[in-house]
Amino acid sequence: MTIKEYIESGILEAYVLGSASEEEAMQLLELKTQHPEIRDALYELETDLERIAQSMSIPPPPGALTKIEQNINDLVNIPETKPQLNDGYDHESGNQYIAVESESTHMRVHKVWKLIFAAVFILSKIFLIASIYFYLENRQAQQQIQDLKTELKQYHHSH
Amino acid sequence: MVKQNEALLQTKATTIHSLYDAYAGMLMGYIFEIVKDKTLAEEYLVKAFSSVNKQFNEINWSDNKWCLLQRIAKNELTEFYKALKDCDPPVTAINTNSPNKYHDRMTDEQKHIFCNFYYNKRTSAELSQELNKPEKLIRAQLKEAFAVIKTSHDN
Repeated sequence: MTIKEYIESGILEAYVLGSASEEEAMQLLELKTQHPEIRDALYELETDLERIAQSMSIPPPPGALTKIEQNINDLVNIPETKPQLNDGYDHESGNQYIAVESESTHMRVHKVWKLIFAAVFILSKIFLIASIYFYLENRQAQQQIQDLKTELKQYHHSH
Repeated sequence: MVKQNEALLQTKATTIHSLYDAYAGMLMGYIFEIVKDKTLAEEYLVKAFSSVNKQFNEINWSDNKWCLLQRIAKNELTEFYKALKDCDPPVTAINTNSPNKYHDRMTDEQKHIFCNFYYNKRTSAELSQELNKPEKLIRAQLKEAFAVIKTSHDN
């Protein structure tokens, strides 16, 4: 394909409209550096596109620039994050003292404590149920003793 | 180092400002033709310029600035194009009804192909499938559409 045919193929038009494939775009950019004809044709097309856009231009709303600036500043002013080292040292002031009493209200314990706490909880429930059971059992036994005592008294009286 | 960063930020801000001064109106008009709503167009305009800021270092600034901005805007509009395709029936072409000295002189097919490339970011392969015509012919029509634009401007 000659350069003239290449220009005539319409690939430059597709490129300026952003519809050329990546491969075509790479090839075009390479050819552009070697052939001034392509560069000139491309320049003309880009100028044409600018003209079309100019003819359809609409003044942007007055607040648009402020919104853009705000958006950009939000992107720029992302606070720098510092690694949080929670190991008891005061890194900020450079002092190497160990904070004996930590400000944190939380404490870290070994995972095995989870099982121990669960076992203690279950055991406490078992003891609670058992104590209620034995209490009722005992009350019933006392009642029976009382009944027997009365029966015995009555028996003595009758004889 | 800090001073260098500040200088870079300053250049960035100045470049974006001058881009805005030169092209915001054109970009607003372009986006409006696609979304047909001023508030939405403004939203996309803001997004496009924020995107310039984000990609500032990756952008090849030797390219034509307008084409560059248009490409960025098209990328920002990707979701909008997708939404149009999901419509029932799918909207595949945005035909501009606004009076336009360039479009008036094109044939219907040239106008259809040009608008699909210009507003919809569609490729010649997609259009060749849709119109059942070889890709070469689609690109030739696109080229003719550009020739029409050129002559209407020269007149």
